[in-house]
Amino acid sequence: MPWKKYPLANNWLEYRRTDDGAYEVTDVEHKRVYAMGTLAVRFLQSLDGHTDPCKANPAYTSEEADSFLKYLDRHRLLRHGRLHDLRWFGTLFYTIWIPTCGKKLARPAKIMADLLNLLFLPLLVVSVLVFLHHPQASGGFLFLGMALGLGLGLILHEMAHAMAGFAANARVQELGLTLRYFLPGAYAMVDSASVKSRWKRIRIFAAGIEMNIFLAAVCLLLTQCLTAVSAALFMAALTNLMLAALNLTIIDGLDGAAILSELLGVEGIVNHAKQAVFSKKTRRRLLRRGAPGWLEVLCCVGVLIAQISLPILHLINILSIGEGLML
Amino acid sequence: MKTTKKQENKTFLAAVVLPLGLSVGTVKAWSWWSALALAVLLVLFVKMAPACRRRENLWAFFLVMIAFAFPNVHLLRLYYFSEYAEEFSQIMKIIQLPLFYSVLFSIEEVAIGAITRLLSDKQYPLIQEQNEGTAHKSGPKRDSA
Repeated sequence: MPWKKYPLANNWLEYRRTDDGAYEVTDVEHKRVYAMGTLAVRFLQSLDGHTDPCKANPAYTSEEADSFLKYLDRHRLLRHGRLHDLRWFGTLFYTIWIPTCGKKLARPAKIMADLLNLLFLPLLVVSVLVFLHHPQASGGFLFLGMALGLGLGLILHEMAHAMAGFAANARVQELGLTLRYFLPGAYAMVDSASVKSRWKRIRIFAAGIEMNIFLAAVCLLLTQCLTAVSAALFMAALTNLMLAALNLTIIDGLDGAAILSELLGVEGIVNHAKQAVFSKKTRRRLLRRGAPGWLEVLCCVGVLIAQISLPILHLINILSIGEGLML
Repeated sequence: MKTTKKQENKTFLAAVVLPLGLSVGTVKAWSWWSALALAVLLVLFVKMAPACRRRENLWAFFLVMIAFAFPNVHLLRLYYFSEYAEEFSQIMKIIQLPLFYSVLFSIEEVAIGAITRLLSDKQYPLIQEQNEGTAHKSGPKRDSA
């Protein structure tokens, strides 16, 4: 059964009117730009999956509509299902929710994002202190605690990104599940580039990590009340703390790299680092600038060295599975 | 106040030697407070040194990279010989070390970077490929409007 009855335009398209009255349609995900006329853009915008494109656009005959739909499909501007394209080996995305009520959610999301910002660190400190005074880790269900902590942590992490996005009036394109470099997880597509304030963008990137820390703190506090499953809760807290720490790592595609890019004032710190280190021309130009240039090159080397964490993480996962099987 | 190239180079040299000394000192007299003091010193240095002006975050990144190298290695050593690591095999323990180093390094970079950015928001963008050198003439450009 098809996902939608009628064709659906990709939800990660951005429309910008140019000076000559035409439109620039940007495929944010694949970084491609198309020039289109007003009629074509109206046609594309009417493709919501529920309406017949021919009836919604009387300016187009059915043949014209068909041929235009074929053109859009050829350029991957249409969606056929919840599953996205496989962009890299071992990577896929499965859409769960495409938000259409972003403005309505802005106010409650802002309150929740502010609360999260205020509470996550004090709560962690309090919970760790309480746990150190009355350590509780009894009962079984360790694996269940870890699995639940991981699942809940991954989902709430992405929901926190979306919440911060709604709060900052950014366009939240969709939420879903993903397999990235063979690692299962969730994702939230938030167009943070549309947010002008740097600190708001940083808050969008940091919200997921804050949520993981918040969850860890809540689980640690719950160990004091639910003593029968306190070991499982402790595992859930530990898993969420590890998730937060790993997400802070400066690896391309993770929140740490995005936050650092914003802090250093550059778009995509890892790509920049690659260019500064591996491109002879850029490197020479930088080094000619004296101390600041040297600094930039050295910092870029540091960023690139941090990239080894991802293969190591995979190796640890593989070894853990291997050890588990051997046991 | 404008900084000359000579001044910048001197700061560069000081920024390599001093943090390394502080770093070794922190490990010798290890406590969490000394690590915190090291972080505060770095932020103050970056905020006050004239050569770091308008490039505070870049300097902070570099200084943290150097100054926290020894404390991070010390923390990893503590972990390696701790009872928590005993449940892992020898190979696993060795493989974990670079990952943990990277995690520690990233957390320090992000935390100190955020404090530095809070203290001095007006900075030059990191790399200016197209209009190299124009930042000095036209003043700092805020990359977020």
